[in-house]
Amino acid sequence: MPQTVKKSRVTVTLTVIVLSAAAIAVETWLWSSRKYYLTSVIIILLAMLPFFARFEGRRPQVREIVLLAVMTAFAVAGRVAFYWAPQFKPVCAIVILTAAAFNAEAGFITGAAAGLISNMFFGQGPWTPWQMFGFGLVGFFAGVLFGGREVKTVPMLVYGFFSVLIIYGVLLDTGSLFMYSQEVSLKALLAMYASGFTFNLIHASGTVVFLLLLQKPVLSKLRRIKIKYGMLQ
Amino acid sequence: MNDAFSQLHPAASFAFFVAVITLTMLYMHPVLLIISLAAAAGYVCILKGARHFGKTLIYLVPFLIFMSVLNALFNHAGVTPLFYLSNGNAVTKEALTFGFYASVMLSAVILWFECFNVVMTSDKLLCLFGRLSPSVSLLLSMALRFVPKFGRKIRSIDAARAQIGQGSAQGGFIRRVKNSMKVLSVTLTWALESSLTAANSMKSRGYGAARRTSFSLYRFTVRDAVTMVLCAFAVGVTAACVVSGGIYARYYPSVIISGFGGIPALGMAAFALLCFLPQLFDAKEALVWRRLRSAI
Amino acid sequence: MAAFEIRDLSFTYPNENKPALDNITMSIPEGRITLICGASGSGKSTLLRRLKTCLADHGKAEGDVLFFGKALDDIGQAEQARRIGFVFQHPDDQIVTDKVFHELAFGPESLGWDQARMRLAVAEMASYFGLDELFEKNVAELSGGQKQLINLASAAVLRPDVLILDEPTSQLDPIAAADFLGTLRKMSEDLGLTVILTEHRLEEALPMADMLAVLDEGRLIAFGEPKKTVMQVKNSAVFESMPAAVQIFAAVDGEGDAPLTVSDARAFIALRARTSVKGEQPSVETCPETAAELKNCWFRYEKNAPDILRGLSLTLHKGEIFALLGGNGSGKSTTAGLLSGRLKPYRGKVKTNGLRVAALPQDPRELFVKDTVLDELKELNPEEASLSHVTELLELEGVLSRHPFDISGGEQQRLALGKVLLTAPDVLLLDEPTKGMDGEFKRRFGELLSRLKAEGKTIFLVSHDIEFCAQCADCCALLFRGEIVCRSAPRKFFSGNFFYTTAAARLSRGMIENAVLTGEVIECLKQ
Repeated sequence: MPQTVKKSRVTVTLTVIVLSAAAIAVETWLWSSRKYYLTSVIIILLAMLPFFARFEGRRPQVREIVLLAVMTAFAVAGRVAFYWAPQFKPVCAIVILTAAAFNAEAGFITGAAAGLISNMFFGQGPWTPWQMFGFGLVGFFAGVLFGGREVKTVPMLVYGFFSVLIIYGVLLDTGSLFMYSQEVSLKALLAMYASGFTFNLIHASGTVVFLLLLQKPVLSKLRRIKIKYGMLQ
Repeated sequence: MNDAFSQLHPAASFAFFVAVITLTMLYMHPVLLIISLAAAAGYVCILKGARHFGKTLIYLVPFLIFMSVLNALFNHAGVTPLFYLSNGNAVTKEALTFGFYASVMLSAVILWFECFNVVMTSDKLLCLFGRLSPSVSLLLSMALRFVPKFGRKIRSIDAARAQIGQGSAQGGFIRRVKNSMKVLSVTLTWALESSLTAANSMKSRGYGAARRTSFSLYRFTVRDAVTMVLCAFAVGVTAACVVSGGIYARYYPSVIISGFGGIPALGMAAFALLCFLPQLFDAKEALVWRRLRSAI
Repeated sequence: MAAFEIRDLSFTYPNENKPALDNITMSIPEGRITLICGASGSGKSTLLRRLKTCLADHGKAEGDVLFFGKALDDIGQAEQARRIGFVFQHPDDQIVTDKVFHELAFGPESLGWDQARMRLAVAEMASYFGLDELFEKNVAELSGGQKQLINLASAAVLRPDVLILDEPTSQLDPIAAADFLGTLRKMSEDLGLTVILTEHRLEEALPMADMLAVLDEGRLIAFGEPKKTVMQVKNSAVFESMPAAVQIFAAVDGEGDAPLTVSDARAFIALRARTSVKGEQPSVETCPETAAELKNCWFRYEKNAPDILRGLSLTLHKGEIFALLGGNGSGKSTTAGLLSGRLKPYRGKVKTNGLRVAALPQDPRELFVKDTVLDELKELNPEEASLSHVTELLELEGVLSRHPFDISGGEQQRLALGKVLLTAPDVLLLDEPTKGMDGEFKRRFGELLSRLKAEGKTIFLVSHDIEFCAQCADCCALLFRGEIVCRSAPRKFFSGNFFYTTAAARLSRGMIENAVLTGEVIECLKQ
């Protein structure tokens, strides 16, 4: 058994290296010909690859896969509870809490999967990879900062606010610019960020409210279920 | 909808969409863009009906105009000024032209994604993932199963809690936010608790006992291979024509668009072959049916 | 050869003193259906889970379990997964993927079967179960009965030697439950499959079982052929859940083998029935005051959807227990929705005369947000007096500090009822309150309803449970295609019905008039 695991890991590593090399070659050419959107999407896909490859490579246990699937679906379905306030989206908050309860990898996988799944319901588009990567990164850094540690409320709220505003917001706005415009300049980027600011601010504030009210119950429920799954002794 | 092309193996369909969308975004040549837009529009009509396409036009056309105007107003590169704005900046022919073709490109991409969403159902996407990564594919499949289940539960919990005065639509804004959060909280408890049964049911059916394989509804046949070869061929010819300089488009500082000769025509024909592949499939199928029917 | 040989098996959960399984020895025969019954908490599920290593609970276990002569723990996970199929109680929770075909393929995928072998196994199973129509459907579109059938099929797809089912029909309506058991029986007969089954609804399950095991507080108190074994457990708690035929037979000291089916029981009653008329015609006092009223109500869920209610009129009198019966999709829950104000009719009127109406959800857990039962009750900021009143009324004193999700199903229901009662409703709406309850719990729940009635509450009950309604209700009504076709006091209602009636009425029809409850038949036979 360990033999095959090792083998698959070697294959994965090799593939990643070969693909990256090819991609860098293509990218330099594309970037110089100002194909920003295609270049960036290739980079994003390559950046996500190792996370998924690692997850696959270590053959996750039942409880991991079940819990991540539950949290992913919960992040996507959560907006139903706020049918009366459609601009309230819990995805980032849930992803951050998942990362805090488990680890950075769980945060990334939940975020990226939530991005993909929600687009399976609302329609895929050129924005799909950006959303996956955006949610994934928000989860990843949350895991790096809070994963498996005693969580303090204020730092998490601060992180929630700025991660949505800066990581997710800026990433998605950059993506939109690359999508809609062939002329990328600092000026154009700043204009895009300025126009997206209000929207991102609402998203970030919403995330803070979600974190404020859901942090305690969600973390305690996850702790309880971890005990039931025998993940904590 | 009885579209032959969408019955292909997911790998073939996916390869087609990747090729067509990438090429559309890659080369800003007017003829290629218009071919792509026309093919995408035609395929949307086949998949979703002309009426739906009409509805799409209602927002697509204003968007097209808006984007080209926007580009012309903010981008002042180009050598042919049409008129001057009050702040002294020029609105150029080049910027207007570029803006127009950029929005044609974007419209084509949007329409291709509409087709993508019809053809590449969640099953097909999962089938592709399943080949590459059975665990991720399983995770996604489970999440897809849970989303509607949780959504229904949220509604039902909300209704139940409304009976004790704690529904999400009761009270002022703050109360409503709090009540909705509680609904979410209850849903999570329930979801996690029922996940224990899911985990047991997975273990009971051997999850983790061996290396997972992935069941697929689809069979990769000669037809799929032919499609993929055709796609690769068309992409290769188009790319060769572009790289050799036969198909060329430049917008700034002045607009230069390659004319029509042997090489550009070849490249455009190859690109058209790629874009209209679904229609060709359908046409072939229709012919076969007609022949079968006349035989009866 | 025995499929399972259980020898001196004892098991104790961590942090508990009393063993959950106490020295069980039994041999489960191959190719037969073995039914295990016992009251809630008797250790049925614990025992079943010990028959598959990956499902066995953590704790202290002693004794041996042999699977076809080999120690179970020495058999690898993959082999156990293939040879021992397991179906759980909740149809919805054990389905893990989004499509029917994917669910069927889950086992084969996990065991790493190749494409050709998977295709064959899945196709074979889908054809056997008649699932062609459902094959590519989303799981979310299926009914509870269909879901449980998918679960059975996806356990059977691995071609197991033994199929273990833990209360598989407890969450299904009677018709779906009978279908499910029918399929199970056919499968067992067709394939010579060994089936081990726990059930609380014994009316249908008992006649199809080849062997019956009865558990009581973790001990095996009887094991053998059903018609003999049932008589050995006359005095245990589980006897309340036995079919009416068996209860009647036991109560009048019948000799020999107990009758398990309606026809056997009728033959027996025909021999013994001396009085043929049950005396007094019942007189039910209904308080003339109206609590709530639906007048000529029409309802549909969407503009273009078919009508669910078609001119439904219904009056609820103060202080009565009103039971609304009817098949799936007849509009029972919709009627409750109109009464609660959650749904509005597009034609017709709902009058509640200013009374507070509150509904108890079908799944009591939908109301729980806190970490303890006490906090749960306090969520609604009640006065001390009403809090202690409710705690006492619902017998929740013992579990106040427990987590709401860790208490038993019956306790969860009482807790949810407590929360609803703390909002001081005049009219209580209950949707399928006895789903998944065993005989003893049902009796206690019935008693609780009478206590609430004595406090002046009006109770509206939507149910499939004919026996329970016959026992507890003051008034029963049958809903069919959105209209009430029959409404009267339970005795008149059930003695007048031919199919849709209690087991006791079916057993005694034509021999004892007007008998509806098991106790009444017994009384008449004893005279």
